[in-house]
Amino acid sequence: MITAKAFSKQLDTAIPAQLGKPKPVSFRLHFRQTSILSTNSIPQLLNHGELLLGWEDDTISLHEISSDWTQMPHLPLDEWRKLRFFGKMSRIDSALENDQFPSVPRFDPKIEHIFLTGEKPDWLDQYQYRLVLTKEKLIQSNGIDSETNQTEAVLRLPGYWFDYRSSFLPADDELRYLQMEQTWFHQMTKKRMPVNSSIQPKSQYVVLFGPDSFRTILRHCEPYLQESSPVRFHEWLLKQEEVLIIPKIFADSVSSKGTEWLIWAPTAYIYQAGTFTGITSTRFRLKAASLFTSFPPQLVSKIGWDGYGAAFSSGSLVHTS
Amino acid sequence: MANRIYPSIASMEETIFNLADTYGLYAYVYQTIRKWNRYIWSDGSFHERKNGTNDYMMITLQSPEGLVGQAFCEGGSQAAMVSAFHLARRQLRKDEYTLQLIRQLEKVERKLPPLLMPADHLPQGLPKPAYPLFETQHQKILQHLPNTSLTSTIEVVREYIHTLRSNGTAHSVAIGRLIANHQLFDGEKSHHLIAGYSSDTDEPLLIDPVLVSLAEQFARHQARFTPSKQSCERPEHVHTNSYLLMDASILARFIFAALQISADGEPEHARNQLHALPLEGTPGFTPLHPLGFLLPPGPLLTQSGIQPGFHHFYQKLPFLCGGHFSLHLPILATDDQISAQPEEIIRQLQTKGLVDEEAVNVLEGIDSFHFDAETASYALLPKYSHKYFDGLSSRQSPFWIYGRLDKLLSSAIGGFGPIQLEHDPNHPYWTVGVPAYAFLSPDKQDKEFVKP
Repeated sequence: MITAKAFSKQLDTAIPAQLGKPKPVSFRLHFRQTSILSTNSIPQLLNHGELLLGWEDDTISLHEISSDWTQMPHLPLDEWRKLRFFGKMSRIDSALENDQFPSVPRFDPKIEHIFLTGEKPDWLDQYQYRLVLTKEKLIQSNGIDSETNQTEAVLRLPGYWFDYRSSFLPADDELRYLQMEQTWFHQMTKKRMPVNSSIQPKSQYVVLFGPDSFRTILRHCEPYLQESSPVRFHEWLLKQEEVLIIPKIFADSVSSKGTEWLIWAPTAYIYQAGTFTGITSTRFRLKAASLFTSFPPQLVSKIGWDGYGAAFSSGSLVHTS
Repeated sequence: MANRIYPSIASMEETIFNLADTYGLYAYVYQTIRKWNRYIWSDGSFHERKNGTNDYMMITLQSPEGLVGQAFCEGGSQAAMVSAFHLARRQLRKDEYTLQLIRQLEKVERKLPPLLMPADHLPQGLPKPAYPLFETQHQKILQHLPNTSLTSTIEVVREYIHTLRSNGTAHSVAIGRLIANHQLFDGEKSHHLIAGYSSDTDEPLLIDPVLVSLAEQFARHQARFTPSKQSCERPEHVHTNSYLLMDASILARFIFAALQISADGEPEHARNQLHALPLEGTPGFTPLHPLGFLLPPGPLLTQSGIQPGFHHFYQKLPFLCGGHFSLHLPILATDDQISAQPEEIIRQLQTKGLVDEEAVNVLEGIDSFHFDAETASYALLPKYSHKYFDGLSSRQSPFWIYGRLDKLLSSAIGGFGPIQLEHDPNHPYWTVGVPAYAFLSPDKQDKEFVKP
């Protein structure tokens, strides 16, 4: 990918032909290359760049382009100049902020290898999978030249709902564990209940939020997390009388100040003493202030989860009818 | 211009077809270059403008044994195209849906000449004097809603689409698009007013029809943007079995959600059919299919379930092409016969014997909408809700509705009022045509109502 130096040079070569007109004096270019390989979609190679130019008359201009910049023999400076306006350089920073929970970039060379060569490990074809390779580049006229590589792997065995989600492909022992877990699941499952069945949990039970839904809760609550040690999923699950496992939730503010939330879980899996007994959907109210203080959650770790899950007792959640 | 900045489309295609010939594969290539300018006003003043280019290439390869491989590429460098070709080649596998669709599209095309429009006839964008007009409207809206934050965007797009297949059949079109979006934020929720159109002639794009449409939408929905101080009755019990009358914005949202359902799951049966139509003039109008054929109207959802062939691209590559969708709903009365007011509609429903003694809940506007594509289940909190019972109308505080999308679409009995064009706020180039109100009967519906 392009370097700050190379882009500076490209700009400079474009300028001499533009005598007498305002020149660009600073730039910030953010370029992202995403490759996606997935069993239920079309493979994708995406290139996307955002350019901010600062001009000598204190104007700025904003441009987006999907082509590879290094392939451009001539930068379209005339076109860009016409789009100058007065604005603040900082605006682009706020534009890049979004609602996403911050994620730490992590990179698995084995995933990159699959994209480069097309050689996949043999076991991969048993799964429905989605592999993503993201390369990001930020270059600025002040010399900043940084590159971030990130990978992502999501695996799912057909008929089984615990996704494996990580920046890395599973290691051999993790893969063995996942296969054991699936075998265990199929042995323990007596019958699979349809979604939205009338099964409802008993009055006292535990709700285990998967990493995704736990992040949603963290986003909406100001948490006070006690420093308790996380427990392992399988051992923990066997000890619980009744558990509702919730991988995904949608949250809506009930009060205007965001102190109380209405949570909808389209899918919740019910386990009794470690045995899967059915699928349901559920919804409940959640008081942001008291959730963590009066009912500290138990953190749960599981191979295939890209973060901790959190278990709350049902008393901390107000169910709606 | 396009040729000066980019390696020409022709040389790119040559690379792909040479590679395909080398490997003994039949290739279908769809390429689009989208050049756009976007202008944003925020709370009464100019905020920013931006231009951009997106070029996309969709490659489909077919082996002599009938295996199909596909790849999608954004960014026009030669190296990226070559990588995309090999991605598609390594992906070669059995794909009955795509093969079937290719046969179907071939059949349609046999009767029609190729579409070849010179690219230099593309509309040269919006004339400058149009911007102040848009800005004035933006400021007028702010005057009516003093406590609202308003962001207005106007986007002008020049899109070139070119397709080529190994047998030499080529299509090429140039389309100008204009889309405007007022986004109002009342402190808690956002509301969108969206209007736009497309043109494939060299006529300049005009902003007047867009401004008129935005003004009409604003007039129609203004009450929704102003928080009401009037207290209203809270539904006392959970309704489990009630008639629904929902407005166009809600029905449209359900239809857009239907495009997200994965066709790979269990087939969903629907009583009402959903179609994609290449409708000229709609902002997302595209006459070509990403497989490189002329695009005929096609089914997305029929009695036998989701039709993967057509549904595929909208679900998997939503940004590749815009589209217009239509739910086949019997129109019980158009504007000529009845004014599209809920009271009138319910009176009509009673005379037709479609509503008996039970209450009808009228839902208008969207406060919150969630959709889980995996289970095809939804959660909707409408903005406004009225109850009609025994000839009396009473306002009630809106309640959440949960259910399954396929059942909901099947329970729609018919529509009232003129057909309205609704935009998807997430994909403004997706539109649907839906009646002002749709009537849903509980018999076919599995739904629950819950107090918020």
